[in-house]
Amino acid sequence: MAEPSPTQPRLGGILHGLQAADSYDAIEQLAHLLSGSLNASDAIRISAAAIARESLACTSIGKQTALPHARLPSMDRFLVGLGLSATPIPWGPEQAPVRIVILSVVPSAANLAYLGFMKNLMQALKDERIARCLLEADGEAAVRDWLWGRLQIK
Amino acid sequence: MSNGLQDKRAPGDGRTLRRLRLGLRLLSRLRLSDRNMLFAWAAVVGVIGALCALLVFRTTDLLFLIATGGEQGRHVAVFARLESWQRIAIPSAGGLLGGLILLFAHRYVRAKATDYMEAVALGDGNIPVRASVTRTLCALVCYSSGESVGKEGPLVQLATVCASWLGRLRRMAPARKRMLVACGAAAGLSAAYHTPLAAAIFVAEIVLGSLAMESLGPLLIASIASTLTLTAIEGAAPLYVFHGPVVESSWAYVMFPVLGLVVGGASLLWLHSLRTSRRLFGSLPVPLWAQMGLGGLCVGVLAIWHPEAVGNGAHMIQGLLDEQYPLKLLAVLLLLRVVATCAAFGSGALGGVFTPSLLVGGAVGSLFCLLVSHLWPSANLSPAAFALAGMGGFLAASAQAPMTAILMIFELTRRYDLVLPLALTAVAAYSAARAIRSDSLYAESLSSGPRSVFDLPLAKIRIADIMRPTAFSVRLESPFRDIASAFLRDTTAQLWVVSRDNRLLGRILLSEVEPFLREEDLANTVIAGDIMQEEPVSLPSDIGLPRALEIFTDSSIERLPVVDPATRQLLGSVSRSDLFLLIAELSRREQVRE
Repeated sequence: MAEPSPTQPRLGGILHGLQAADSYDAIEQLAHLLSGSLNASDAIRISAAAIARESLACTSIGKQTALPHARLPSMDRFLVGLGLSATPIPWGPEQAPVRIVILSVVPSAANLAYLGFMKNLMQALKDERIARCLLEADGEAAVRDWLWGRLQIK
Repeated sequence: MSNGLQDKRAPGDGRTLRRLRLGLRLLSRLRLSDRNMLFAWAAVVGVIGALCALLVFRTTDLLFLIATGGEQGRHVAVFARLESWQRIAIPSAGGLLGGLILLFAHRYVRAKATDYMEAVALGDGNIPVRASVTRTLCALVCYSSGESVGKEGPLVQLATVCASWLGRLRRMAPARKRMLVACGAAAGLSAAYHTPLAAAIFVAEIVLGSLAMESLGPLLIASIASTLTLTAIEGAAPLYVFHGPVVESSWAYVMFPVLGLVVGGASLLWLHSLRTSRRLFGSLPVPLWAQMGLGGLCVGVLAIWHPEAVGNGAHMIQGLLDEQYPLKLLAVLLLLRVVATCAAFGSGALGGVFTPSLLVGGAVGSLFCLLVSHLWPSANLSPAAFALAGMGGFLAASAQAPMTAILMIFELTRRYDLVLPLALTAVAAYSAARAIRSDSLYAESLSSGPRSVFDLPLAKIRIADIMRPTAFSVRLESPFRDIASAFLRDTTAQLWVVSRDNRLLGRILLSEVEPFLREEDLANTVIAGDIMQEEPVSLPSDIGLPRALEIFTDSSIERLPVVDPATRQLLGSVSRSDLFLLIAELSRREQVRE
């Protein structure tokens, strides 16, 4: 099977039972998860970039979902990490309750891919049932199926 | 509690985004580069030039009606009906009033008026508005009172001051502002004479000193837009009508170059007379307003004898083409016109000398033809054709612009068969005048004036001297909605991304975001920092032109941001074409100095 292109989003990991005190904590855990596909020092760089981005503008979009984002010039691939929490995480200055966290880590030269991914994601999340399906999914395989079916992320 | 996208969006957002989408779709079809933007502004200036012409025509109509009770454009016929004391009083009062207007301007308007040639050839395209408007008013009064000056002066002054104001309003770079003022001049001249090609070539050849397409293109667009506007409002007809044959005998082709040599010499006498007259009036121990009154008085006294002394001479030019004047009368009228124009010009009356110069050239050409025909009756020469060729030769020699002269006379009459005789006369006249003295009617305007960036040595010019003081920018945290709005509002292909303290951080290319600008879902979820290209190429404000040129050469970007070298704060921007225009102008001046 052919290797996906560097600008095509790939699933870096799913964290069921995410337990975080706040948005920064959740981002750090997901960055650590993604660094499994990279190397150890990448986790720090990803969390630093995503937290810096979060401090510019809150990434909570309602429907119990947040879409933190890290843009790194040194990245050679577009990675997506998904965290699902049983209890709401207070997110951003407004402490919005978030249970689904989708962290994307994007190479600097992948603007078109990033905007395309965000567009598809936002359209998929318009469906009220999606959040419930993800949170109540029966195991990781069901979540992976959803990600592939809706966002072509494997 | 939810702060989701739907909750964050204000009720009118959907409608605004739909408008943005429509606007962006249209803009993406019509998107203009910097160069095309200059063409678009040139067209706008052309339309403004035509409207300025209409304003000047109507104002002079009104002022002439008030002064004489007669119809504008018929100076000679109206003055012929006036009593002697009126013929003296009206131009004298006009000169006096014009002088008082200038006195008022000198006392109460702080800025010094700048001639458009100075503003373009020597300055940075800035023409003070109030000083120029009072100068225009003075010229309108002088012209309407019958002084021997042309109305193209105030017309062009008004069109160029509007162009300069527009350039300042849009915060254009000096090179671009100069170009816009040059477009104003071309539009004004085109409207005054119904000669779009000659007007553009005149400004390119004489004022800019270059016929390169970079400068000629906008000038042509401005003068054509001006002519089309004026045609749509008032209709179009050649300014002078000539129906007769141009050449009836092959001998005429031999006589046209001879005429060229004659008018070439006459043009030098003409320039000398104008300057001597100015020197004489300047040496009088009276203030300027009194000098101007005296100049008007001279014109008035001459008008008692022959009313042809008044006005810009357009009426007499048509008379030459209708072959109304016998030899002796023409010689007298020529002398009279030279004295009247020298009196008006020398006393400081404002207005154009273009039409009076055409008349003198035409009269010399016609006189030459009548003299040759008198000595050699079988030569079968046309005085009207020689008058036109004389005008062209005189203009070529006195303005040092043969191309302009040939095109101008051709467009004034729209007679193609005149081109060959015109070319023969113009080239001979130009060569004769240049062999004796390489001086021009516009030398004074082009040899003095305000200091500007163009007067600095190349090595001393810094990017800060030529930058446009604005750059289209968004903040790092600006949402996608603001980015789309900025692209729509500023019609730019890239936006600079700055920090809260205005430091340059990156840029966003329209080409990278355009497919998504219609996505309402992205309006608040994506920010500028998510999609900017970091570390953009920029120009430190303290670098010189050679280094800037290197940076532009290495980059394919049309417009680059200018930053403070110490803090990297965004100060403005410079476009590739602004830089090239500046370098072309500096090279031209270097050649002139050599």
